[in-house]
Amino acid sequence: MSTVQSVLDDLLPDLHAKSGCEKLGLARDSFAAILLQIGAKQSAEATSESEVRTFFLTLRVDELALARACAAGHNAAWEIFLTRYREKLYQSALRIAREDSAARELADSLYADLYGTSTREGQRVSKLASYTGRGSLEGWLRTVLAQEYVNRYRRTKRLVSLDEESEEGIQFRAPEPDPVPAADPRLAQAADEALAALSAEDRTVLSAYYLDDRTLAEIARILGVHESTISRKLDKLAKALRKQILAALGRRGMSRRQAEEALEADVRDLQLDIRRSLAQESSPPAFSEKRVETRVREGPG
Amino acid sequence: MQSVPQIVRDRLRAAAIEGAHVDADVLTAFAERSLSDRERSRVLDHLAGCSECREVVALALPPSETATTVLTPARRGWLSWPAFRWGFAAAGIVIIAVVGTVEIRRSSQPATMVAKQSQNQNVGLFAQPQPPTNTSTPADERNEHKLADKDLQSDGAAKEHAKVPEPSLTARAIPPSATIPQNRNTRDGRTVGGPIAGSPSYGPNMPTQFQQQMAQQSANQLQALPQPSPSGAAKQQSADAFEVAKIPPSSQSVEVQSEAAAIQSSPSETRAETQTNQLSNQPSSRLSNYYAPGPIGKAKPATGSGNGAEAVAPRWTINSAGGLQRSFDQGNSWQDVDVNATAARPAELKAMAPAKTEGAKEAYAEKKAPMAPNSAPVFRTVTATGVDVWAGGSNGALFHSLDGGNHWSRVVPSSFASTLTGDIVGIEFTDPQHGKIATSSGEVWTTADDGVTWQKL
Repeated sequence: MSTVQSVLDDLLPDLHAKSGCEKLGLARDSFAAILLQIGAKQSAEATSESEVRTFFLTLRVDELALARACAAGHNAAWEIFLTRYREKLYQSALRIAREDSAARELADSLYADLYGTSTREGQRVSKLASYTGRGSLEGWLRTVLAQEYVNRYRRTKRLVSLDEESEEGIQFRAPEPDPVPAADPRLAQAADEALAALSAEDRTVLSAYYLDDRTLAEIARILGVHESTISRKLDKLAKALRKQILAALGRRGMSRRQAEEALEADVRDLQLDIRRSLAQESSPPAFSEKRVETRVREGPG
Repeated sequence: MQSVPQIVRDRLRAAAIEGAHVDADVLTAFAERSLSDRERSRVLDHLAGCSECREVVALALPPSETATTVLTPARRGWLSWPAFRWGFAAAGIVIIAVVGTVEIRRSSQPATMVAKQSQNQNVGLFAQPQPPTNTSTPADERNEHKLADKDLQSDGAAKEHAKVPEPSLTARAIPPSATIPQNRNTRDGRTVGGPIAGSPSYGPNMPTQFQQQMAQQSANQLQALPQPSPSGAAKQQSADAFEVAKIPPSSQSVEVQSEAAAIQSSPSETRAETQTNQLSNQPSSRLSNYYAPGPIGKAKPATGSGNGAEAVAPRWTINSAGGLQRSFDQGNSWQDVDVNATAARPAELKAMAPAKTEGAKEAYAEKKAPMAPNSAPVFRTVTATGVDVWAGGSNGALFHSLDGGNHWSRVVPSSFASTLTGDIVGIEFTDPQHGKIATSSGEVWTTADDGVTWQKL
C-alpha cells in the first residue's frame, strides 16, 4: 500500500495534468482517491515499485477521469461521453445482438446501468464507477455490452418456446450432449494429463475452436496474432495431444494398439450403434466384437 | 487440419470452471493486449475453462472493418498498385519493342541504310586494318559460319547468287583496291541479303575475315568470266570460302595482314575517298551489296534475312559507369563496347556524309577535334532498332552504328550555325530514318534521314 501511495504521490501531477479532470468537473482530490483505490486493488498483482509505476503510467487517465466524472453525475462529462460514445455504443450493440430491436434494448439497458438507476444507500451507482482505465473506455463499453448480452442470452435460452424455435427454422434440435463417461477411465485420465501439460493459451485456443466453434480469424483476433499462427498451432496441438495421450495410455498399461483403438473409438458413435442395434431386433447377429462387448457391458447397468 | 480426438473435446468441456468471471476492465485490457504477462496468462487460464468469458471477449472484439481498412490501403500502396503500374509499363515496352522489330523487318527503307553501311564498311576497311579487337571476334566468326551454312542449304540464296555477277562486274571496273570490299559485299548479299547479314563481315580487322576475303578474291577470279557462273559453281565457291574460313588463323593471319597492309598502302587517302564516293554514287552496286538480285522488293522475301536478324541483333544497355554494353545472348552476358576503337576518323566521316552542308561539316570537324581519340564518353542513353544503334551521352557525344555496334561513327547534330550542346539524355527513333534527340540543355533535334542532317526544334 505504501508503495502505491509513494508512487502515486510522485506521479499524480503528471497523471492529473494528463487526465484533464478539471474540465470535467472532477476535483483533484477525488481523482487522486480514485487512482489510489485502483492502485490498491492492483497491489496484489504489481508488487515492485517499477511495476506499480508502469501500471499507473499505462492507465488511460483521461478516459478514466471522464468515466468517473460521469459516474459522479457531472453534466459536462456526460455531454462529452454521449457525443463520443452514443453512436458507437449502438453500433456495438447491433454487432453483438445482430438485430436492431434487440440491439436497442441492449444499449438502452446499458445506458440505464451507466447512468445509475440502481441506488445504494440513497446514492445512484453508475456502472461507469467500475471502469478503471486499464483498457480503452470504448473497449470496456463493448465488453460490458457483451457481458450483458451473454447474461441475457443464457438467462432466456431455456425459455424459448418450441414455436419460436420452429419459426427460426430449428426443429427438433438435438439435445446438448452431456459428457459421457469414457469407456475406459484411463482414457480420460490420459487426456486430462495431456491437456494439463498445455499452456493456458493453447487450451484457450482448443476450447474456442472445438467447443465454441470459433473461426480461426476470430481466435486470431482474440489473441492478437495472425490467423495462420492459429491454424498451425491447432494442427500442432492435435498431433501433440494424440501422441501424448497415446504415451500416457501406454504408461497406464495399454498396448500401442489398444491405446490407438481406445482413442479412435468415439463413445458417442458407440452409443448410437448400440441404440440402433437395440432398436433393430431382427438385425443380423453379425456384430463386431467391440459392439457385442459394449452391449454386454451396458447390459447390467 | 487434423482434428483432436473426441475424448479431448469431452475433457475440455468437463474442465469448465464455475465461479467469478474476469472483470470487464481486465477483459478489455486483455483484448487490447495491455496486460502484463503474468496477468495475461491468468486471464487465459480462466478463458480456457470459461466459455462465457470467451464469448464475451469474442463479442466485444472491435469491428473487423477498421482493422482491414487500416491495412488495405497500405497493402495497395506498396504491393498492388506498383505491381500493376510496372506490369503495364513492362507490357507497353514489350509491345513497342515487338511492333518496332516487325516494322523494321517490313520496312522498305533498308536499302538506303544498307548503302550507308557499305560506305561505312569501305571506309573502315581502308582506315583501320589493325589487329582485331577481342570483343567482336567470336560472334563474328560464328556468324560467318552460320552464313556459310545457310548459303549451302538455301536454294533461294543460290538463285540470287546466279544473278550476282552483273553488279560485281561493274564493281570490278573500278581499281583493284575497291574490288575486295565490293566482292565481299556481293558475297554477303548473296548469302543472306539482310542488313544484319553484312554486319559480321564488316570486321575489317579479323584475320579470318581477311582469309575469307582472299578466298573470295580467288573465287571471284573464277567469276570474272564474261558469263555468270551457274548456281552449282557458285555453291562450290561459297563452300570453298567456308572451308578457308575454318582454317586456324595462326600462320594464315600473318600472311593476310601483310596483304591488307599492301592494299592500304597502294591507294592514297584521297583515292579511297573518291572510291567511296564512287561507290555511294552507284545505286545499283549499292543495292547489290546486300540485295544481290537488284530490286529491293525481290530481295526482301529471302527468308534468311529475318532469321539472321534475330540471331545477331544484340541487346544494349549502359552500365553504372556510363559505359556502353551489348549482349548477344538475350542479356545473359554483357560485353563492353568501345565506340572509339571502331569509330572512323573525322576525315573519312566527312567523306561519309556527302549530304551534309559545308557548314555542318566544318562544325562537325571542330566538334570532333577536341575529343581525345581514346576517351570513352559517359553514355546516358542508347536505343537500337535491330542493328541500327544510337548511343548518346555527356558533352553531346552521339554515336551511331549501323552494324550492331561493330563500327561506330560519331555524329554531331548541327544545322547552319548551331550545334547540339549539353548532354544527350534521350534518343528516340520511330523508324530507322526518323529520330529525335533530347539534351540536358533542353534542346530537341530531329532527323528524317538517319542522322545525316539535323533540325533543331
